[in-house]
Amino acid sequence: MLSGYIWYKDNVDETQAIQRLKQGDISGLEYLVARHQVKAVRTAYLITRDLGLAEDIVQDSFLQVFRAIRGFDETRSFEPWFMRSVVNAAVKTMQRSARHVQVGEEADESLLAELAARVESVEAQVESIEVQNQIWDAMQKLSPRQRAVVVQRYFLEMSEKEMAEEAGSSVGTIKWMLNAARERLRGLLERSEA
Amino acid sequence: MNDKRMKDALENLARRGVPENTNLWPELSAKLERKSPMTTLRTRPFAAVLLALIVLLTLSGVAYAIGRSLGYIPGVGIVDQSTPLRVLAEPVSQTRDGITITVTDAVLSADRTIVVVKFENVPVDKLPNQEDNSDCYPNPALQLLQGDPLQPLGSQGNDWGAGSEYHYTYGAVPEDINDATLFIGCVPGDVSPRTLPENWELPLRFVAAPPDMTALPVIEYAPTPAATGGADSNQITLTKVIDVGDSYILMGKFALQTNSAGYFTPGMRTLLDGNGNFLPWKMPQDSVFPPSNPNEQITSEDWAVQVDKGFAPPLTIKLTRSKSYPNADDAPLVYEFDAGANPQIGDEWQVNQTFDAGGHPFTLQSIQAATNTDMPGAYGYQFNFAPLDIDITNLYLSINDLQFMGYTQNGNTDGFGYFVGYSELPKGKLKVSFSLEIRDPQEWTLQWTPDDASANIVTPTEAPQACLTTDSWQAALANPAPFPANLTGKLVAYGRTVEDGNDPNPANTGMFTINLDGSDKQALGQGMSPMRSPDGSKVVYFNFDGLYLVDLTSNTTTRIPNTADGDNFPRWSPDGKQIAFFHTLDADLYVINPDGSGLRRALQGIDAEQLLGWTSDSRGLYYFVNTQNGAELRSVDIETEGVTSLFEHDGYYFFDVSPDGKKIAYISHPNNLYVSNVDGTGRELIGFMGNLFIGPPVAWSPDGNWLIVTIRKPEDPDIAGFPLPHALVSVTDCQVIPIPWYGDIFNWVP
Repeated sequence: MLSGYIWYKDNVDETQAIQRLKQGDISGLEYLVARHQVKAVRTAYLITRDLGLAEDIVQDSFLQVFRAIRGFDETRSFEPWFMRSVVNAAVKTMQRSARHVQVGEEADESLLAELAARVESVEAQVESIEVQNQIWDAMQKLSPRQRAVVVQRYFLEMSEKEMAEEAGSSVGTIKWMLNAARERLRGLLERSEA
Repeated sequence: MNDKRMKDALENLARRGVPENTNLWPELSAKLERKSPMTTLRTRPFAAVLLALIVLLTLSGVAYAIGRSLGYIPGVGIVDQSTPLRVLAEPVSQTRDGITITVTDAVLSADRTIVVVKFENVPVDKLPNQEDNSDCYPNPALQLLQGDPLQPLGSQGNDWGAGSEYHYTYGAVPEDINDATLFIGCVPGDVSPRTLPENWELPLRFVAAPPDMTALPVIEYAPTPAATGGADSNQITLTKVIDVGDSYILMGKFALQTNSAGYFTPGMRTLLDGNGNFLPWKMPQDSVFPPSNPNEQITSEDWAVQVDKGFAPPLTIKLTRSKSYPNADDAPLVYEFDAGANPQIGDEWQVNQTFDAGGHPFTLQSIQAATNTDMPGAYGYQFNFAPLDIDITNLYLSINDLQFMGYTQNGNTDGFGYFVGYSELPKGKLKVSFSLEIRDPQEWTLQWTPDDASANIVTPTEAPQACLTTDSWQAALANPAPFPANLTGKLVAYGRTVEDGNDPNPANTGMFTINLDGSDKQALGQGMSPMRSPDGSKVVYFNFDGLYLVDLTSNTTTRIPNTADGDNFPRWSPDGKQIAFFHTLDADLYVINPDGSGLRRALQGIDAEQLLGWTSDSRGLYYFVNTQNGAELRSVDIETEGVTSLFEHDGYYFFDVSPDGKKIAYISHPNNLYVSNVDGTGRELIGFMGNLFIGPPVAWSPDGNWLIVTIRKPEDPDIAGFPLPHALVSVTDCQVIPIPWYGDIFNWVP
């Protein structure tokens, strides 16, 4: 269910599910929910840091799917289309709430520097709970949009081009944010591998 | 840093926060019940049908009451009548850039305000697609003269191509306020950045409801009729019934399990008459559900159905759900083994341990360190299970919670396999955790009998005589007739091309040509919607990057130049000189010559035009669009783009046009099949299968005297390649002959 290799039959099933949903057959949506919900909730959770909120966001995103499916081209992959929707919804939700540190939508170098400083100060394996907590805490300091960029690149494994197209803000800002985050995190994690 | 390490960290964080058995479906399906019906329903302006219904239902063996002064106003919904009602003084409409928004109805009661908004002439190519799904979902604010605007507490909607209608429910409007403004930020379906007019303001004026306005009574049941089946038969209840003249609306609840994560499918809701035949039903479009309270934990799902009168009682309502294992209350499914310090590819461990998934045993036979050709660079373990007595829809497996590269499942009659791969082969003591999604349908059944005298029940009649019935199908299976000698030609289908015992995969499934009797089967490879040319020499199909042409003489395949991703569902013109297709990105129809020349748009419309076929003179196309009432068949002259509306029906699907372009096959419910002239006249019921479904794809015989349809049991999976039986049905003399082979049949040419 996670980032698993999706074999051919699954793709056939998904196409069928979408076609069924287009005809108003709700079991098509059931299939899509069963198949994508865990990854979607985890994506939203990494941005919102709130499981209940993440579940609400993903539910709403599936409801959007239910409404919008007639315009979806089922010959294309569903997951990227859907995950973009989840990321956007999560960012918008956080921007509307007071749960995040209020920062501008432009890249904030000081916050990224703080993220890097936190993770660089840890000398353990990235799998350790401690390091994960450090990253978790550091990400809290990012704006929802910045957090989404990290999640898109590393969790959803989107390419920079895809992210730039998706961002809705300047390409330069996105690339800067990614490069800054990547460079600083690279130092930490390579040392931790040593 | 290596990117994968960062991914691992985020993956672990996400796993810590979000359990693998996350299940959104119970709540989601409950929201869907409130939000959006699956099928369309006529919406009648309530002013036209405000009929007083004086008759009370007398319900055999069940106590009932007209509770809390609830009333049902057709076209609006259920309202509390304990205080005088107010209504919209007159409909309010605005048109901008060709798009019309109309507030058609509003009813203000003591507890809520229902506002009905209709959106019309919305260009369908503005609906979101995969390029941008930031579509508008308006939640109109109702601004009163003072104070904060009221926000909708719930909505139900109905989309049909270029239009939609929503019922928004708000809190009560104070009695002394009779003016308000409805703010609609954007048009449903508009993408971001917005291209359609935004920020609509519609002034509303409310007046006392006319004295002759009477809502229909809502009969509340207490207690509910007893249900049977399922783990807890009290889970499904019938709470309200409304007699709306020609049909009933029935409402109830389905109690969610304490551990709702255990259920992952919703289910299928089925209505049967007293003879066991499926009854078509609709989701009521009006606001029949109470507005949701976001602060309230959802403990049950509301359900509602609207069913036409005239059925043979009693009415049986069935709800089927499936379970997944393990649930939070179940013991985890875990197996531990020691792979040693240096396991090698090929090492094998015999296990033969049986696990229990909710009473269904499944046996892990062995584990083997392995690689997999589908996952280059991955090293992992292959888990081999004994043949299962249950239908597993998904198996999830993890080793020591390590991040895997991927997994693949495979199964055949000898058992079921699961390979999970990693960048390095996991070593040492390994803890394997399983979770399964299995088809373990549980069924709840509730019966209800309307009172004959008060409910104006029509005397049950035999199903109209159809050619294809459950009885004629069973008789044909028992004693298959030979195919008539004049039925020749080739069929094109999709299904198994190699019988290797494995699940469908690209190596054993694809397109093929075949004779009616199953002989001379020739594989054509992978592709979708294959159609053979009228002269039989070529097959056109679509794939992810355009249309393809197979020359059956030279056995060569070429991509048709100038076709592109999104070009779908090709259809040959009767003269074989042109191919029409549907382009998904703009939802319009195009025509192209087989050599790629002459590409042109045949029809640009605001709807999604769904291509069916050509007129017999190769000058026009038949297509259908979804409408608020169902679906409408139209034709377009490809030279002039002149459109002719042919007929509308309240079902949801048109199948195909006969080879001479004069007849159309369609269904209005999955268990029936009609054929009529393309203008809707001369309708004949060809199939009525009772408790079986008649399904697509449908193919006409070259002479237009026969139809091939699939026959499906409700429990059969509706997936490509699943072996469904086909019936050959004569539309002239009613003969039914089973087809002795499997495959989705797309067309049939001489």
